Amino acid sequence: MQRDGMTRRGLLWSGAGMVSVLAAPAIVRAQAPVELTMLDYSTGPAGATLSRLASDFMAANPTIRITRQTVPQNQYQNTLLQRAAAGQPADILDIDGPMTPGLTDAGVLAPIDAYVDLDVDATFYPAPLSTARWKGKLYGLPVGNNAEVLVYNKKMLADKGLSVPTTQDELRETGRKLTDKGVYGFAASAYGGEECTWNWLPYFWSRGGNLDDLHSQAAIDALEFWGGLVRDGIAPAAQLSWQTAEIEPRFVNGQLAMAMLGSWQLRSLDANAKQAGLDYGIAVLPAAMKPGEKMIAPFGGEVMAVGSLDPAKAAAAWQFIKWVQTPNVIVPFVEQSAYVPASKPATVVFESNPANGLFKAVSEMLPTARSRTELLGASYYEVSGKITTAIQQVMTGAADAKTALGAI
Amino acid sequence: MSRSEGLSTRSLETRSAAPLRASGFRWPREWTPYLFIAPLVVYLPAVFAYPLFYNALISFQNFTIRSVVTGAADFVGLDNFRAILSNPVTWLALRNTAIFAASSLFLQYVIGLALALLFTRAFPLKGFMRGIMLLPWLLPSVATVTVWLWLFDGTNGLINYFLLQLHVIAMPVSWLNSPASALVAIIIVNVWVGIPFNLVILYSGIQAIPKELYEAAEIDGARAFQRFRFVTLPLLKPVNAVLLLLGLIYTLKQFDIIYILTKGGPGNATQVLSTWSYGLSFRDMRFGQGAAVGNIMLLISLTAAIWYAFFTRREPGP
Repeated sequence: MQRDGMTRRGLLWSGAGMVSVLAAPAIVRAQAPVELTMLDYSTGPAGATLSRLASDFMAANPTIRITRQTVPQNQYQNTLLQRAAAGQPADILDIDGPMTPGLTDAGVLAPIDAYVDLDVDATFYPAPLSTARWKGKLYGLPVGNNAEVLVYNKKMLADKGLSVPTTQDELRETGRKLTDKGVYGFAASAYGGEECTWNWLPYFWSRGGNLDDLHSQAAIDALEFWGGLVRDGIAPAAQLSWQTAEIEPRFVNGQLAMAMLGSWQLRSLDANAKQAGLDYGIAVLPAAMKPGEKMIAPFGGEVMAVGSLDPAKAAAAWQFIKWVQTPNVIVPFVEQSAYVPASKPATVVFESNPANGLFKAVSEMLPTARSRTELLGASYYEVSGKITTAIQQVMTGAADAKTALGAI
Repeated sequence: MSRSEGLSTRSLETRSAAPLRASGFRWPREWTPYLFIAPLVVYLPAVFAYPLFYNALISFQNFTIRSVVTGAADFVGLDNFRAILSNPVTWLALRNTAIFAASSLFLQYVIGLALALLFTRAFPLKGFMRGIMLLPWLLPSVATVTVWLWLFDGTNGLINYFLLQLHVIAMPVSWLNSPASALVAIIIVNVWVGIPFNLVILYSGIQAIPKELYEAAEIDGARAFQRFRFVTLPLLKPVNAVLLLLGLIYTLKQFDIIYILTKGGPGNATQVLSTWSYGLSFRDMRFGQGAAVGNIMLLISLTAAIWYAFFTRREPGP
């Protein structure tokens, strides 16, 4: 009856309604998959491979959903900072190795030591693994690496009866003998930005130098050696404007007898050289001081890290990151990105493919490679900028090595 | 009207108006202009004043990469200003900016004025020429400056090629990779970008000068150069003031040209305040110091703007 309020039927209905409203969240939560976002800057075939990896993983793991988002590489770090500031971090990140200390300091990365259930030190090479660690904590797993290699014009060397240089002195001598009208003996990018410092570091570290002491004799000698190549005409002054990508076509059309190229360019170099009929060779950088010694060089590469502090999301993100490291899952991504693998099991699979023989020089230098950020952390980029200034000043003859380093 | 008529009209009004305006409020007409400027009053402070204020605030804080995420930063007083003023690169950037601005403004003005005078005459394709003269200013600077980058290339650039073919030079010039010529190169490109703006403003300034003055001067026996010196130039003074001010501000803001061509190099030879501020903030992650350099640029622009306001206020009316 209206005056009493609800009828018995009304009570039953409202009771059922209340129960379902209260129980609904629990039922939905039990069925709802964990939603993860993955943010990276991979484009082209590498990007397509990442998307495929995400969908393959989702097919095998229906309780986890991954949405992939991309931004251009030069906006990546800023995007991460903005999203963290807005409280909407991406859960799975694919960061450039040297970014780890800075992003950790900013609170963007989440440590995964609590979730890791594999022996990372036995699986990964020490140098790439060091870019996934900072101050004793692990933040992700390295997915692939690249480095600079020496390429040389076989005909030009044979014509002058020269052998491929393996030490720094040999590089200078061979370069000097190869320099001729219209041909420079050697070139390496000295473009303002990370490339300039990155190309100099092998010649500095192999002399025993360290980034926390840039006034040592090793630093002065290394700077004098490197700047002297341009100052004395063995390498072109124009290399201060060339990014590494611009060195490849000039090497292919015979303006450069030897050059330093990135391993990510080797496939396109191979294709272009075949088209131009150029007989070329790839070698380890001639940065060693004595014949037979191993040289110490920097490397690039990415780390797949976790950006979210939510335990459910972090655990799910770890599942994906761990699964990606399965050799036959990661090797296609490594090949599409023109990397070499960072883990020992994946290297075995990678090297079994003869098409990857181009990258032998990189695999050879990776065991003795060194991380750029291990001593300086987040302030590496600032120091790198100052080193670039010093290198360019010595190359243009604006200052000698000691004065240029004195300004740092 | 009589009292009774007025009453009846009023009651009619109230009865028909009651459903529409129960409160009896009528929008005063004097308020309408404020309605038009209200969006601007909201937009300008939000988009311009707030970032300016925030920039000033950051320059007194130790703003690091962590602060970008958390928003928290320690107050450090004048430390950032002390740090940048004791950094020799700041003084180098100031010197480069001064040379860059002075040379650019002078050359842009002179060439712009010459072209404007040229366009006062009639010649075939004048309209078309005036149109394409605007292109350097209208085209996106990233695209045009990248082309200049290739033109200036040390080994394969067109400029060196033509200069060598014409035997003007014996060896290729290292335009962008030698400290002295790098500054010249960026001045050349900035002048090229700035000429259209000067041309347009000077041309309309010259058109605004009454023809009778020229005729009077001619009757008095003035030759072409004297007419230019005693009629054109003095009457262009207000135009010159605007050009100088805007040109200075645009040149101070100029970032694309330098960043794409040399990134401030080689070895800081072309580092100017805008690129230095950018490097401090986004490469070194020292946002407080970058903001401090930005404030110095702001001070220079403000000084120029105050000078301009003072200068044009003193001008006697026409």
